[in-house]
Amino acid sequence: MRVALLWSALAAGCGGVSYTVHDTAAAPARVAVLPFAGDADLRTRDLARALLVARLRARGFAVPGVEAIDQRLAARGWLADPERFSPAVAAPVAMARELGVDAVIVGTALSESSFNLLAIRRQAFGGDVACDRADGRRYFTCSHTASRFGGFLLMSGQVLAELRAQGQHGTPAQSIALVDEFVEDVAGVLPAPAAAPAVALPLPLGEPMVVRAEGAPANGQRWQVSVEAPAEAIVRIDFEPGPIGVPTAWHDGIAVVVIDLPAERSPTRVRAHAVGRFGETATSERRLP
Amino acid sequence: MNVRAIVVVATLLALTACSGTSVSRREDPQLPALRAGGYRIAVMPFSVSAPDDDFLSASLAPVGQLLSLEVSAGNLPVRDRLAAETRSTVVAWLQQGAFEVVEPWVTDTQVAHAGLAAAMRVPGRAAEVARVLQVDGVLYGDVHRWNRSYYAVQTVVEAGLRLELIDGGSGRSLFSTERTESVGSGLTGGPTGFVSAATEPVAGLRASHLRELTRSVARAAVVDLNGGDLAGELSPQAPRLHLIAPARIHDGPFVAGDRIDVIAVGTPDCDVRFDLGRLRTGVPMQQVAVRRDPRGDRATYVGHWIVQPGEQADGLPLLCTIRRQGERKVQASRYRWAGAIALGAVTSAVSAR
Repeated sequence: MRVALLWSALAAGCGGVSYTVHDTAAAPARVAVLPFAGDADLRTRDLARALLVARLRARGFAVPGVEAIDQRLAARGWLADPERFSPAVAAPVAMARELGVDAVIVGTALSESSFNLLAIRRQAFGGDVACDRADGRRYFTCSHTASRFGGFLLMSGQVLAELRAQGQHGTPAQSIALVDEFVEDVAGVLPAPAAAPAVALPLPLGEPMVVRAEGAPANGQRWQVSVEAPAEAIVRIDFEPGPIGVPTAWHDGIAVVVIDLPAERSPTRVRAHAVGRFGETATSERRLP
Repeated sequence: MNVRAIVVVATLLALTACSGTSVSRREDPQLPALRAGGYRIAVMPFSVSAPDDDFLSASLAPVGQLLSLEVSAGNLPVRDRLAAETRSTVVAWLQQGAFEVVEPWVTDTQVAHAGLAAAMRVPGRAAEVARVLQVDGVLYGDVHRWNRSYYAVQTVVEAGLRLELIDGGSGRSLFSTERTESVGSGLTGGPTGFVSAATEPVAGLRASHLRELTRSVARAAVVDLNGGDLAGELSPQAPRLHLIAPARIHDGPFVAGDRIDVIAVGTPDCDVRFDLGRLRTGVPMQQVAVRRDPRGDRATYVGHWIVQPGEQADGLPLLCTIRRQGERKVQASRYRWAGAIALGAVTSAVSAR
């Protein structure tokens, strides 16, 4: 109890983000945010990661989408189970080269904690964030925790306010607020690039090529759809009639999918949607006889 | 009860209204359908119409930081950056929802190149802006409250945001919300003595209150626009899956040409998709049967992925997401199969375990 008191009092006085910029070279312009590791729930970590991507883009960084990053990492065998991802699975140099960026952002030890002893309460979300350049040098490190303190001992001067706060303690809304604060604080101290790099607009996307494939099941048709698209774009295929948003795989530089559809419902139109690494989009389609 | 007591009680009741949230919202009946269909929007630079802090509140704010033991108020955005930071917060949260959101730097660059910079703050010119940006709708925002007010025995900190979504094709307003959140310190907090009655109103002027409120009001306004919670908890009305698994046992890893069949059982008439780790996500499944049951109808969904040459991975988790799009909000739930899937020529002896 005394330790909790002392720790809470000290931590209450320690606001701000603890960070270090390790070199004076210009901030990297293209950064990839890797999956976050830590004890926090995967959904919370994914939310923090997605928010950081959005915040960094708003500050002028070119940041690939998380889906593009994850698909690339999974294809290289570096990301099997997101629950157990470790950024140490490969060197930052290798990851940055694979993802085509100037640096990677690594989040570790992301954790959530909460206790409520009525006299003292605390809910927190925090962890360590680092930025490693593609040349292997560490550019930035940061350790930060967003927290809410309180309790009738600390808030003895505002009893009603503390009663209201007790109701909010530990709720998902409070967790989301802490994640929001953590991400905003970390994004705010990472030096921004001098100018946003140019990104090609619009995204070049070929027309889908559609052919019948062998190996169809009984009462079915097997279709192969292939599309020329920029490397590492996320391409999905809509069949009309039929399923929409079917993902594709990369083979010999072409996005391809093979799918079985009911024999009585041949597609009459196939549409491809592509999202580039930095959010550019394109759509193309082909009508079938 | 004497007059003095009545006045005190009335004052307390009035001050109680100084903490809380006020919302007024209007939504076009077509918005949920547009949202579900992947409505693409651009967010314009925000304006700030909020009045300034008065002299006394601004002067006492640093004392508030000191009483609260904060390191500094340096992380509080100055007013001329407030619009940009609030817009950034709104965009960050919008990108977690159903809308397709154009990056702000793309918006700003393309509109400037088209010579329409002046149109970015005029909702009446949304159609022009939408045409240039090739979006379906344009979102405007105004920070109409962002101030601290000090009344000796009470401080009120408030942040307020207006959002309006204009359809680029028709020019009509699809959605508007005006949301204000406030926090009171002092009498409404329940002071326990003369000292706290004097110090708490000053401490309530600290920067962290205003920052928290700004983030909270932006987040909540986006929830309003998105028609539901973002990254929220499983609710009783959320659709559910009772079973997910590969449809059949497969010896060895799945190699090129093999078909991975997945079966799921759960709430009928939903959009169900499965993921193979993060390698292949959102593979659609089709509802093939529904069983009526007094305890709750159950549907069977099936889907498949045909492995392509070059696909190789070990230990991929199999996850399913079930999503229902109701009238107001998208409800989704996610489940994981206990085993793992292997693709390609890997050393693992069991493929679906």
